[in-house]
Amino acid sequence: MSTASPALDHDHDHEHHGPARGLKRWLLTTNHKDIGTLYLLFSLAMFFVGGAMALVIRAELFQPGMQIVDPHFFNQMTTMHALIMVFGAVMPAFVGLANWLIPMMIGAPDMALPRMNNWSFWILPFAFTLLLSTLFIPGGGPAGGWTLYPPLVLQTGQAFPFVILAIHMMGVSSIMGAINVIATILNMRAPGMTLMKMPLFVWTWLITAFLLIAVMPVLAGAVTMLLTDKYFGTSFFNAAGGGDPVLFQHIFWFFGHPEVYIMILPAFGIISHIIPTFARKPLFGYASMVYATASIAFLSFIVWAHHMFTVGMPLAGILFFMYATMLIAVPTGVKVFNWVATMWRGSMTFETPMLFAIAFVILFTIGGFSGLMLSIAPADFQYHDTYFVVAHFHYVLVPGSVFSLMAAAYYWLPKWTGHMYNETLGKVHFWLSVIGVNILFFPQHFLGLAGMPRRIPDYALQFTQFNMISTVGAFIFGLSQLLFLYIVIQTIRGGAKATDQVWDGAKGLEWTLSSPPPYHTFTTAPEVK
Amino acid sequence: MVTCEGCIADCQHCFILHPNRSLTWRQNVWVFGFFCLVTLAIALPLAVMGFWLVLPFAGLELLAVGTGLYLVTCRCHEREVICIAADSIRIERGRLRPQQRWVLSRTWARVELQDCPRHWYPSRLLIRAHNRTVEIGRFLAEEERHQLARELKARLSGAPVV
Repeated sequence: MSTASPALDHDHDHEHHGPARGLKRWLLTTNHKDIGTLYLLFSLAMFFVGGAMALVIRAELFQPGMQIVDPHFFNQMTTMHALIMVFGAVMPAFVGLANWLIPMMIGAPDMALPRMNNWSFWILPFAFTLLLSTLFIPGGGPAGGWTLYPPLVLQTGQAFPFVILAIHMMGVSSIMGAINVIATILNMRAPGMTLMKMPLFVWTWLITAFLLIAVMPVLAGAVTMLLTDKYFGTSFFNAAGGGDPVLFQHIFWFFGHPEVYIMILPAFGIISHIIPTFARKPLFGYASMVYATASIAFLSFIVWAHHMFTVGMPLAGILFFMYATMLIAVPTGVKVFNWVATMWRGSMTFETPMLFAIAFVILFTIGGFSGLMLSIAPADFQYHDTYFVVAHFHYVLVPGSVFSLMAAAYYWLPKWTGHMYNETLGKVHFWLSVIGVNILFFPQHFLGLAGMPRRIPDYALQFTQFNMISTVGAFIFGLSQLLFLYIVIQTIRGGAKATDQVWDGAKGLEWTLSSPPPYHTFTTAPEVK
Repeated sequence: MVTCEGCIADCQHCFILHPNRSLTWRQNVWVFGFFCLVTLAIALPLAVMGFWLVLPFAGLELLAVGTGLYLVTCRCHEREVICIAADSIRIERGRLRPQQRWVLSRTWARVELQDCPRHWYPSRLLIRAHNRTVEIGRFLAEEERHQLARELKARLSGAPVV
């Protein structure tokens, strides 16, 4: 036991306990709303950087032959586009939403470990500056695809160690974010908020954080082994030294498949908030949604090899991974059924967040179905490494994850800023996005079925028309996102005052707060019904 | 959260303050155990297959998870006990046992609720006596802090609580 000295006590009197001003506020902040805002703005910036790379890819593929970039730079663009979109845009955006919303949804004043929250964000700008800077290093950036398969990726030039370090930094940031989410949700729920009363966004994030904790050491170990193979003479993946490059694929996808769910489970949570609000009905089958999310998370650990059917596996292995993959359709189907059942006979209105949510349900289901096609091993031998795969995962990630993020932005932006966004512009943005994204990705199914391989800068003449259509869609979709940026800036700067409730059908603790909510939330202990 | 208790030992009034927590110490240990089980169930077979480099990262991660949960649990189990005796106010702060203690003169004690001059920030509840100031209830919700301030003022002045 210690007795504090009078002098020490007196220091409290002069302690400066208000938020810092200017740049220092953002650098040193431990406030969950500030950090959430930083994450969201960072991910928006990365979304445009990664999007610009996608437009370079699509511009090059507008017609056969080499037009704009050389093949090596094209490969750098495909690799960097994926790394940036996965680790820099989608994941940080969900972490930003988690920061903003989880404390408000569970009735906590802040995240459990605020200082670590600050670190986990501020690692990211350094990680991505490092990653992007590799484009300017002699030999260029990584060009072996985001999957980093050896031996191809080991041909990366001087950029290689920087890429590995950047991936480690992203991993550290993700782990710290996940620890914070878990500690907050488990320890800081308001009295009365039992686990089965938690909002679904909180549930999906809890499971996502668990997935992150489970698989991140595998990614860290895998990329470090690549590094030691290149620079320290080990032979983990070098067949000449007794290693096996195929085993890299196994451990990469052991991380990679749960990673896919890390990017979609929070989206399920968001949609499960928006649809009941605008259908003005409670979510159909709350408990089944929770169990379905947990089932998807469990299954994500036992399906990884469906990404590599063609690599050579025993028949029993192929059958196991094929059937396990098909099983995922069951909990996913439960979710889609519940969303549709929630809308059934609801008093529906179609504000922008609802439009994005409905588009999510329809287009994500298309992505799910093409995933089911890919899970059929004999069919996958035909589709593998073709544009069909590109179409499949983009349907899941763009109208899936990205649309859910846009829906979330429109849904909670009035709460965050205190201003309503421009509904007309929001709807224009929605229609341009939904039309653009389908023109962009739907023809890629046909390209893949016709045999066009992925990750090629040039192609045979018969693929020209669909590629042209796809590129037109890419520019419609890409440029329409500038409208989204405009709407966000316009809403932050002003607009009609948002009410505290914002949407008349919205339920949850966050809607009991003012719009915008106070810097430190829950001045009164929240009441959980 | 604030619990008021009557006479304990020499205390005429006793307030026990503690932050809200939704998981017990034991449940946190179970959560950590579960993470260890899952992470090691993945990392150990990989290490046995030759990918031993996964293991140190798994260990580092579990260390971070354990530290994070430990810090949060410690903070959630903090207690502040304010004991108002006939001629003194004793403030104790700690987790399993009092780790810090202040004794202030009741005669000179003054309860002060400071609103932050800057917009949005929470208030601070201070007890001052002579040149000593002790802040209490930093983890309380704003309304709880205001209520506690009212009660403390009333107890010190002997007036009924409004």
